[in-house]
Amino acid sequence: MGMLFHEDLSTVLRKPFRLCDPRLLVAITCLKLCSFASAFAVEPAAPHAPAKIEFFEKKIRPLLAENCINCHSAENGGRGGLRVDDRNGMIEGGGRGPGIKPGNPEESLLIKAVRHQGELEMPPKKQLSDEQIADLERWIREGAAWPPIEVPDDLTKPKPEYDKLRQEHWAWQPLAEVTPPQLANESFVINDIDRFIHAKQNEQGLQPVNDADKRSLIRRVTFDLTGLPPSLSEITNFVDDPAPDAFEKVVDRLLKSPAFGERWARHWLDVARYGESTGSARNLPFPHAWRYRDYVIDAFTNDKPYNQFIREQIAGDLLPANSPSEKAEQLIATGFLALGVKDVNQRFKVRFTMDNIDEQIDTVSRSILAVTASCARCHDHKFDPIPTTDYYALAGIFHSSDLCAGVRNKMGGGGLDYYDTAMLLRVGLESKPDAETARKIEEQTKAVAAARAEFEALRGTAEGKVQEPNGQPKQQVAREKLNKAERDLFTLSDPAAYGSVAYGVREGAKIGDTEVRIRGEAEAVGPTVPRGFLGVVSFPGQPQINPQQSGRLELAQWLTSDRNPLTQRVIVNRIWQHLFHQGIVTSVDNFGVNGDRPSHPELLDYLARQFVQSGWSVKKLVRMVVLSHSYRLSAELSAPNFAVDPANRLVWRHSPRRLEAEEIRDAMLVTSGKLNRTRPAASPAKKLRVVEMQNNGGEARNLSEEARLSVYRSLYLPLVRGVVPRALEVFDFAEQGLVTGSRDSTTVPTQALYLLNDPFVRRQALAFAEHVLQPLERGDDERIQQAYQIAFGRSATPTEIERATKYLMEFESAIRDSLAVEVVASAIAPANADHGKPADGSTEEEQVDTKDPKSSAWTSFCQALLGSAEFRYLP
Amino acid sequence: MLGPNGLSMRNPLAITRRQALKAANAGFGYLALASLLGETAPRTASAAPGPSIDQPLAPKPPLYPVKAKRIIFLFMEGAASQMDTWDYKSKLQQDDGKVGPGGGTLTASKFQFSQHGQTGTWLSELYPNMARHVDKLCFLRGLHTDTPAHPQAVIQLHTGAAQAQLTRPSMGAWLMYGLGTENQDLPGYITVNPPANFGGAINYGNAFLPAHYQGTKINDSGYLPNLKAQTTSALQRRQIDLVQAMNRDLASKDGAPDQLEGVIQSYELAFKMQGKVPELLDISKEPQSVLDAYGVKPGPAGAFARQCLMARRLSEAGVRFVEICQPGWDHHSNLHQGLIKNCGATDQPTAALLADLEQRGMLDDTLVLFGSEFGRLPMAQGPDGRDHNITGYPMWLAGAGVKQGFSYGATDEYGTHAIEGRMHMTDLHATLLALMGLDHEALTYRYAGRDFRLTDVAGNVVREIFA
Repeated sequence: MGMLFHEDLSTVLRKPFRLCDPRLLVAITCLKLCSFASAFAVEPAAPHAPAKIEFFEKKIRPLLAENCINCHSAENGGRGGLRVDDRNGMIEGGGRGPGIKPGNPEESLLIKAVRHQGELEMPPKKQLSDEQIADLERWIREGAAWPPIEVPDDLTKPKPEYDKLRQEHWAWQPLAEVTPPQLANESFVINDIDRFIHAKQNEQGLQPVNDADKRSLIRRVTFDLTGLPPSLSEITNFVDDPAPDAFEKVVDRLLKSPAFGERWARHWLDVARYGESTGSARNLPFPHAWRYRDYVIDAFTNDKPYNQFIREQIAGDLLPANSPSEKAEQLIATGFLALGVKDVNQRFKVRFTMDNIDEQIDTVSRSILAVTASCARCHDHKFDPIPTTDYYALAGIFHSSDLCAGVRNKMGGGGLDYYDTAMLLRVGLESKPDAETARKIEEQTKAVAAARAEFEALRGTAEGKVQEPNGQPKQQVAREKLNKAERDLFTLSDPAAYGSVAYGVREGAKIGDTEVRIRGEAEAVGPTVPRGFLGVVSFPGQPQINPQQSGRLELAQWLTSDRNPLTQRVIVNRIWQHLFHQGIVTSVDNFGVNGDRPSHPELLDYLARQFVQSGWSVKKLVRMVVLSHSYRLSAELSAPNFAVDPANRLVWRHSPRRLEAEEIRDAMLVTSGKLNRTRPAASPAKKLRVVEMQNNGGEARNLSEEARLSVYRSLYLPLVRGVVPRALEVFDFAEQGLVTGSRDSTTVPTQALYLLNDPFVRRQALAFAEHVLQPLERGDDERIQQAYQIAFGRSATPTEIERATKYLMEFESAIRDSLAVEVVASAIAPANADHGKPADGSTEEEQVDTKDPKSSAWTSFCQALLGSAEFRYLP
Repeated sequence: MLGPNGLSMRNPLAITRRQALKAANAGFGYLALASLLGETAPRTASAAPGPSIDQPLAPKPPLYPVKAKRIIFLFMEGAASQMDTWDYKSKLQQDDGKVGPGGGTLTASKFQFSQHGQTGTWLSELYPNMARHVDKLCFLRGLHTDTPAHPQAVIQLHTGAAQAQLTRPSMGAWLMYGLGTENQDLPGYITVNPPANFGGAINYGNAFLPAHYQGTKINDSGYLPNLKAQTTSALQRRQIDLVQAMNRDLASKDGAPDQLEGVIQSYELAFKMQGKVPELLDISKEPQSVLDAYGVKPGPAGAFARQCLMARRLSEAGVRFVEICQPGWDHHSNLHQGLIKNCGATDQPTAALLADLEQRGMLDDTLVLFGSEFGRLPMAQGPDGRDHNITGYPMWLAGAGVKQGFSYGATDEYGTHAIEGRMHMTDLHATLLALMGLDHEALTYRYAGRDFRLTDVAGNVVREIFA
């Protein structure tokens, strides 16, 4: 049997990584690390002498396989967090600290354990022979030799195809010097954007359609810029304003409104995969994530230059600050790097670390650069010129930084086990406990010491076994008292309890380059790569990484350099997409070889240059785009245009769009008059304890309940991963685990069910109806008109009034006929009244009552308006 | 001033849409009152691979002809102990109390095993009802997976990947993407009582696939959010008619969004679902003999029986992928009583489901899968428990497309490691897709610059088990 495990151990070491393409691996000829060519800028680790490796193979590997691996390997989870199938795993050790110290057997926990002299006795119930222990001691003394990991030789091979791509692929090239095209007929042109757009149309023989009418236009621009519908007076003012700059005035008003910051912040939060919990297998709340959310809102509201915005999110902690509040803001900004999905249940620290770094690399590279760098974790990128060494050059930067998400990895565990208060950023001034709290902490510290002394005195003694009156042994009672005292101390001294904390990153305790991980396996350490940036973009005078620092500062400078064309193209394209509903490059998160090509490359570069010249101002760019003629077209179809360009890539009309989930909910709250436009303090997730959440547990139920009753704008709803509020979930909310540059727009029946039956919708419809019914002296025609104005921003046609009148009359009389006076309240229950209840006992099926048949009819009518496509589609 | 010349021309698309709506118009209201049960959409043959844009859920023919049209997955969450149930190891029974290979004390099963059926399949006394069905089963006895932690392993079983950073679509979502759904009046992918943790919604999510393909979660009392109409059907129909009239007005306008037909259809489907789904999930109308056969009873003890019966009804109605769940198999302790309880809850309903499917001829085109995220070790853990084992454990299949009374693969003499017919999770996925007529290497979706598959870059189809 020993042999079987021996083989297992070796297969573990060579297990192919499942994310790699085996077809690629087959083609790879491997060479040993010791024969590694040093032509490339990576350094091999010193190999162990062959004799020592032979000793390991002969004596140590069988010993480990026979006695240890059954409990301590990656395959079985590594009890106590220790694994012996990997040298680094042994060095790193488990929950009790490092397992071995190469060169120093006396200080190696493994040796203490196998000697059965201390608290820890391994293997349990069996002691190794003296000879075996001596072998282990010798092995550690001689440096704990381990066979080298095979490094695929393509790791260092120059790739001519990469060089070619770097020189040729459009996205990596410097911005072109562009002058707007000259047009024979200038009548279309309002600003330079129109020259580019119209020139392309001319090339294809396309004619742009008519302009949108003023009502459609103000509705479009108000939703696009603020995520809210225009008010009736805003519509009237604009429609009645004959001034040539009437539209400009509207746009400037919208750009100044706080709602602009909220709407555009949400776009960035999609890209930043914002969420208020770790998600993944064990879902732990991030109760302070909202500080990052607010930071993003303020950045867009105040038009923080985009280069500064990015710099702060990557390296805010390393930037100079003029005031404590600016310092706090910069720290909070780094939450961008911390709020991703985390698998806290990962037993091995090294995997937890490398997985989180991968998450950071994926987020940074796709959100800011639209390149899929994380493909290069396991092998050189198959399409884009991103070698694995580039990936680990970036990884070294993040490896040199501490990820402060307030959580640690732990297999199993419960309660507050995953909460790591050392991994929080203290922000703001009040970062010390006040005198009262400090006194309590001191008292509690003493209480813990006393409880510990009491427990230790009883531990293992005969007296400890004596039963207390409640039937429990004294030792156990003392243990529980100690546990409680420790818990109380933990709660008291939680920095979040007496000061402001946030998530983010800080410089790591260990600064330095990291190694390539062969096939992406965290433990399969290959040669070290100097920290650096992606080679897809390089320019003269690139920042050089300060060896004393993580390199995030230089990464931020590289990303936001005026000479980095990719960052600029990507953000300009994102802004364009939010206004035209498809990007100039449609694959907004992927500008790589497999991504889309720009429909208007010159325009993209022109806008990028304008953007940089304007001081990286998002508002100025948005203003320029919406003031263009191209933005003001109607959504009309034109057969000849359609035949040539069905996807409307050449912007011959304005593509209609469905409102996003937040806009639908916010617009409903506007029609009901219930919307509270202020920013709520923090988030409902703030009060959550950092313990595992169950999707159907009490906290989740409370959050859903709060979301259902909230009247704040939708971006303030709690966004714990896996517990997305229903109002958002049904309408294609962003995937919170990933960079989401463009959302889906589906028409699934759950949306219709939501609009027909959800209490939130019915509550808004009821309030909407009560509002319309309010002035008693009015006639129904007038009320119908008002309802149309409120819901759609337009008057009802005579046909619509007729239809609505008939509907209201028939609905009301149907209710009276059925004698179900409170029909909505006393709805005829479905046949199986006992079924169809949520198992968690939530009140999702709350009744929304109307007071009489007339009110019921109007509520039903108003709900129909909210449910109609016109309410959620913009022409 | 800027109007194109083509304005006076009728847009061909608009006409198509209007015609479509006109055709559909005749059906509104009528459809709602027409029979709401058992209406199965005709199969439209389509040469184009992947779903069409307009009808993402329309049924699509499989890549190659197969028997299986749908799957029922009975998920035993928590990792059931195979050496006390499906996997008899005589050597383990003999070596009780000895030191096992690699350490630990071997512990024999406390339950009696005997042989059953023509095949003489060994089965423990915990499954007396299933003993009558062993000749229908196709055992996979050499499974292995990557992570011995429940959360990752459950996610890997459901999505193919345990990698936490990039959530992958669940296997049901892939099936929906590849095959659409048979009954356009029902969700095509339903999961009953899925685990609330261990990834939660990830296990039936669509991840980066379009939202049409996500699983619909219900509980064993048939709860689906927003499904209950808050008024009478007649009044709601009036309201929907008004909404649809407005929608058709909008659709008839020049430049209307392409999605309007989808919106209009979604209301009709929603209305039908309100009528149909509660009825479908209302098992109380089943004859008493059927309820008794499944062992339906109130309360938690009858949860799995209710789920089995619901699964049969949903499958019969054309739901492509139904998953039901029995939790609580994680027996680090209390193995003995725990198994008696859990096997007691699952034995009779599972046997009844197989018998019911067979009697209705549904085993010919329905594939049943039964099993856990991994197995347990032959060694003892504490006085009455077993720890996780990812290196060898069984699942079984029954029904469409697989051999009956067959066993593929094996673990070593104690049941620790798979030694023959080894199947990784991805091999299981590749094989399931193949049984459904899909090629796991061809069923791809491009996202973030990569073509993703359920099986990522691995997966072998185990044809040995094909009937």
